[in-house]
Amino acid sequence: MSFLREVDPAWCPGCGNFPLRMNLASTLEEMGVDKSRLVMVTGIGQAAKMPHYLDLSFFNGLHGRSLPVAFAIKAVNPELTVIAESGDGDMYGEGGNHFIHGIRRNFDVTVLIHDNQIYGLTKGQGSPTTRKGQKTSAQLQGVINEPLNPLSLAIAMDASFVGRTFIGDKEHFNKVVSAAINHKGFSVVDIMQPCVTFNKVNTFKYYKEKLYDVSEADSSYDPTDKANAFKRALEWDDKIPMGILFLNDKPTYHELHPVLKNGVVLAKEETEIDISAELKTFR
Amino acid sequence: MRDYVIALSGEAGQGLNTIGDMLALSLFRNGYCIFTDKSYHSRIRGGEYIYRIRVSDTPLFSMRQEFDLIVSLSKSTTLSQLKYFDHKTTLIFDSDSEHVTTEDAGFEMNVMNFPFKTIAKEAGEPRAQNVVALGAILALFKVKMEIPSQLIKEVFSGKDEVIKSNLEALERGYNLELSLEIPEIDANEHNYYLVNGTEGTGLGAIAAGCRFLAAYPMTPGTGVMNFLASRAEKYGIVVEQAEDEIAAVNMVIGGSFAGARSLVTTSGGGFALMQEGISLAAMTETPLVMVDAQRPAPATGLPTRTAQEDLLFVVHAGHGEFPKYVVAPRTPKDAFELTEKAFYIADKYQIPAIILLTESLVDSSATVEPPIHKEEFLQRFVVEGGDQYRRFEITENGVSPRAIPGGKAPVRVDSDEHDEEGYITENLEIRKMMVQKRMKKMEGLLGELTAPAKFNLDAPLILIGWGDSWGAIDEFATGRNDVGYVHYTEVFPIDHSIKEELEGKRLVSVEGNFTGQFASLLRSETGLTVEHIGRYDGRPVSANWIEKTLQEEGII
Repeated sequence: MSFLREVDPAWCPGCGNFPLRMNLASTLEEMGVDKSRLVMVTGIGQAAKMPHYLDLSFFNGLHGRSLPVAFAIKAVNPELTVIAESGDGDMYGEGGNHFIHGIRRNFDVTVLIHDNQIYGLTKGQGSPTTRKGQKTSAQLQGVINEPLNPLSLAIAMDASFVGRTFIGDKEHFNKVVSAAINHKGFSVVDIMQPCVTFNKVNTFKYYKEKLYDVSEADSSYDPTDKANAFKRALEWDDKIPMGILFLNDKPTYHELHPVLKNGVVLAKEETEIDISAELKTFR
Repeated sequence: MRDYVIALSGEAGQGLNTIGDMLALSLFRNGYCIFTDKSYHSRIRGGEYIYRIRVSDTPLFSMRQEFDLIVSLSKSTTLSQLKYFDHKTTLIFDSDSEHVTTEDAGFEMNVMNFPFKTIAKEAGEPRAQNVVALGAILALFKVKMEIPSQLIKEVFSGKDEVIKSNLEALERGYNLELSLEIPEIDANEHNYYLVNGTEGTGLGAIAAGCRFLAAYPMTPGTGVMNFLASRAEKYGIVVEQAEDEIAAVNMVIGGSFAGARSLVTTSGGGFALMQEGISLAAMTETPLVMVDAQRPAPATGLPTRTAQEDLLFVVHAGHGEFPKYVVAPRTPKDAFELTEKAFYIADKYQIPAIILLTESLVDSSATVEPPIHKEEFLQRFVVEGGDQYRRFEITENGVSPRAIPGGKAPVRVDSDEHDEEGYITENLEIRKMMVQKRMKKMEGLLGELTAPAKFNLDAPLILIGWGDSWGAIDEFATGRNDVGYVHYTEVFPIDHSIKEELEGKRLVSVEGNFTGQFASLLRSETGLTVEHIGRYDGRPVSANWIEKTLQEEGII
């Protein structure tokens, strides 16, 4: 079952989205994900164009709003596998509020963020993850705001699954993303990828030199140890951690919800509703 | 028609809502027709709280401004209500509290004092002063004591001591024997329901098969959310309190995309935040049903007051051009039926459908005929889809077959302009065809409209109205030969066929706003000349307000 669509993506040559697309398609294939039960939800941006270049059901909505849509799709039809996917501007900037509340809701969705630390579609402005001091098309003297650290934010909020991977390591991508999709609950995967046109700092070479996998570096790494995971998540300048940084086994939205915990599918069509008994209480 | 208006006045936190509900329900169950409304400040305790009940022998759908009887538990609140006194108004005061005197009022008042607090204390529950008052009023209307006794048992269920002392307080109230003359109002066995606009809308949503609701709380729209939340487990509904209005509307679009009938509720300020979502629903052709319970604006305005100020905003909501359906119910029964229809229209045409309520409608209980549930409105128009499925197929009537994810066909939906398959496109020929396809739905939609309510169109003066002003307009026009009316509940799109009937008449729109928004809409759609009178002090339009204003303007 191929998830790739024969199409010529409208990305710049050399864009990190190309290998990400190939990696994602092969991960889904290798996992044997049922295509008819998969829905991808995206926001706006270069990353958010992804579902147009794959063969699957999708809802490509508004800038920053993939998570509310993804939540509702999962709420009304728990049989669907839902992937929310977008860039750092979309998920952490415009969608920052929904990211926080998505973690709080812990609904079973996999959130893939193409994190290239820049706005690509609007041509090179700083994003929430752009490092301090970096010069951009809108921050000509350099970014003065502190960057958002999505992993430490997610860990601080007791997110269910927090990981990071790199488009340049197909095997690693496959490992982390498939674990995230298999994970029951809100799974965050920050994906390192270069923007070859607008970000001259965070290049392919930059990531290749700095990224290391936490479990490979330390075979005794325990992702359920919150304090340690948090400490790792704060690393950036010399070395950048990746892999499954934090795991927090907790009940999902569906498991806790008084209606959904009974396995109800709200999307089921109804042809008959008897409201007469309810009306009688207004007599 | 005979009627009598009772006001219960005091401060928020004095139990006026509970006692007002009990009074209204007792009178209703005794066979009277009831219309209630509430006037309150945006605070939890203190301030001013007026619960008005209009008792009549046939159903009425508006309030009369002047009270016949006001039962007051607070001096400051009574003082603020003096403008609604007339020569017949009787003020019943708790003689244990601070009094309002004739000097305070500046006119001669009919005052009766009773030591409610002392009586309640003797009954064993000092807080039951309002139950004493309840008993006194119900005795005046010869309501059988079993009716309020049963309600007290229900309200305080499980607290035997409280029930005992409240029943005692009730009985002592009954025995007060107010020496007051009230008009002979017939009380008959009837098949009516006592429902407010919130309940009507909520019941309509349940009847329509709504299974998902997302909202961010905002008065007065919150009631519908709370109503569905209170019945969520019973009917298998998920009610999610979103982090903001933007999330709420996007959730509802997601829920609808995935196949559940979904509803978002809000008020004007929240609706403002949801506009991008409305545009998204239009572009993705996802059915979207929204409740906007209007309150006076701009910005945060008057949170607990009423207005009809959002009409043009809602009609024009969302950027770009696309069809939408906007309804403004007249009564709680209408709210039920139009909510059902809104879900049906949203599904049939894959467009946004907006239910425009007002604070006065959602907070008013009225005696209504049983609402009519239409099973055909449950039709979803969802298809299975096959190998060749195209979500945005160009069709003759502009409506494409809608499949939902999880079935045989992949469902692809995009907020950018897209081709028939749902893939993003910058092909301007396709763009043109897609605009035409979406706009084509307007033709079908116009065929779905029911005619506006019409009364005495032979009269030289025709009042125009929309939404919950109907009760007041109908009451004013009934019995007059010189006035007729046309009243709309389906306010967008507007059926043009009325134009011929109205040509040559003096048309005056009666609205809860300053600028005459419906008059503008009707003018722009039909070319008719329409004047208007508007009420914008946060209170509902009433028959006597219409009469007074038309006289002041020299129209009658």
